[in-house]
Amino acid sequence: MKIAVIIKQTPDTETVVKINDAGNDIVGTGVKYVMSPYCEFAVEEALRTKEKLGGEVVVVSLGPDRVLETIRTALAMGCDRAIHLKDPAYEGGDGQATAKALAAALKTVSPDIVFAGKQAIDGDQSQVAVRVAELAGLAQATIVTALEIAADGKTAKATRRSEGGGEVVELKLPALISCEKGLNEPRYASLPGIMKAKKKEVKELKPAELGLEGQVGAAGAKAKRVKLLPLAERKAGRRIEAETPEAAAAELVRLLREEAKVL
Amino acid sequence: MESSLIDLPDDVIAIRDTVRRFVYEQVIPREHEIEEQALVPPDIVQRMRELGLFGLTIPEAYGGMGLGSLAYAVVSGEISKANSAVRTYITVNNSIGYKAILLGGSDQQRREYLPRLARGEFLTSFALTEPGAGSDAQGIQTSAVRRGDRWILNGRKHYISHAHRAELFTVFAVTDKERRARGGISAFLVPKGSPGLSLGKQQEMMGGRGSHPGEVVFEDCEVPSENLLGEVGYGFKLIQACLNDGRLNLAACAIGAAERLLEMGTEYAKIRHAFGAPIGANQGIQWMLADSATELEAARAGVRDRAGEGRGAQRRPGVRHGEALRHRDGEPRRRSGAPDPRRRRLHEGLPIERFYRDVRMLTIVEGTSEIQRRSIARFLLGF
Repeated sequence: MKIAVIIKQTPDTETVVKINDAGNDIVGTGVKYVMSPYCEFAVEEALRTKEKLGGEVVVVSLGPDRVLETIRTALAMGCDRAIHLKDPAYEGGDGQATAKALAAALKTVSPDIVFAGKQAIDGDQSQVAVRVAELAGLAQATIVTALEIAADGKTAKATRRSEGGGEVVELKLPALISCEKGLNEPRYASLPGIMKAKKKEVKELKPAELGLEGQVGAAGAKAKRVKLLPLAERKAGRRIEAETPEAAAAELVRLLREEAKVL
Repeated sequence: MESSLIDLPDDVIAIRDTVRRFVYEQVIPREHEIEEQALVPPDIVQRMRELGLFGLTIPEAYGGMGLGSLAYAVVSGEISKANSAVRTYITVNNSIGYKAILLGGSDQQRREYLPRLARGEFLTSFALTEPGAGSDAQGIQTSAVRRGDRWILNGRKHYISHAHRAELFTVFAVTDKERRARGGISAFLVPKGSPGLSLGKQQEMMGGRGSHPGEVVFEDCEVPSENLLGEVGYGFKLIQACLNDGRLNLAACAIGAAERLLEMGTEYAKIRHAFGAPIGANQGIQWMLADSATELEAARAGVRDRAGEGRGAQRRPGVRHGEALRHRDGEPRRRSGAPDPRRRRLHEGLPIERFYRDVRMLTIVEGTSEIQRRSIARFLLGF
């Protein structure tokens, strides 16, 4: 089975990000980058699929030099080879421009199944995976929490999480699965895996090699981020003063009900 | 905080970060449980196997990773941020546990044991120390006498890490009382269950709970002649080779423990308030933190320098400076629980109290700090 997994490198969730002077991006220096957590579920599911059905797992990622480190993480977890879309021309794209590049790269792999995170934890737009599926003409199931692929590799049954419930869909492969928390428990890269990852192939593809010159990155974007808004500063908490614990509890309940309106 | 003096290669950083994540996510949340039950839980040991931690230094040809001493030092430091018993699991296996087999074993012995050791299928113990011989290793009394195609061992070893869990013991015994260190000590592989081998009492220490040191007793213990490691009389050379490696690595372990202590101390200085301000706002506390960080930086740079490859660093007696730093760590690092949560250090059950006990071990095992000073001085003096 040909398995592909799309991953994105994002700032670590624990990194405190700062907005740049232009107000439209974060300051990159001093930021620790990691694989977006939902992409970890995607990599894990890709590896499990390979372990069950055999085949090869190809990682595809778009971004500058630093992204190589995240690609190596996926290779260390057990993926077989990688495609790195690295070129200044890829930078500054929106979901559509990025998806176009990734879909074209996937074409060189012709996968039976593609895994992706349901969203990246930086932009939180949830656009790339669905657009890739559309552009590549793949069936798709988004926000998947359980997946069964038929032994013949022709169909899959995916359980999707939806607001307040779920649904089960059957798909014809080739298909794209966007992965949600709960789908699996991502493995750690083993240390021998890290050493082996150094020797695995990472192929760089330029826009021209995909026939996409002038159509990716900022040039191919239809939407542009103009401004980032910082989180509103959190208000100071309020201390409840009372004579007795009982009185304090009563006052707390009153405030929760009347002011916070959560009870 | 990381040393900027010596850059780590990318793959070493990747390995370090993976081990760090494992330690912080899987081990540290359960450090209290490990201490209380004096046991590293089987599921954590299993995760360590899956990560490949048992085969760090075993050569690739025998199924390990063949890490160099720098990478091994860095990994050991990360593991040492949790319980000493967790560290012991890994560092005993990766140094004194297997080294004698690699250096002294026949190809057949290596093929038989090393791949399984690398997978963490069983533990080995290094049985050298005796009630009457510690630092002066050539003073051991355990004897081995050849009888036909067998060796007969008699004697008693103690303070042997993992004694009660090991499947295989590397045992050092006197084969020529006159020669001793000069060709009179030999090494033997003694599998658990050998006739005449028994385990004495467990000898719990104040620190390292869960590593279960204990006595190993040989009463006319028989092993086949092929269980001799290397030549007759090769034992003392093996002892020196095994311990030299281990010493450098224990310095790295001390640094890992110190990093964790500094981290805890720094955090505490921020959250603990006294007289209306975090105690870290007081210059007295700030200096404690700064001094700890400075000493730690120097120690880390020293160990990395000694562990660095390609400069003959490991053969230079300078290695022993790394050993000395280990000693220096034992003491000042108790302080680097600075800003000393005074009473908390004494409060049983808190990590800092455990570290206070655990790090003592690092100034003793595989050569005491005093013995290491002696080595450094003898090198300087040309003795």
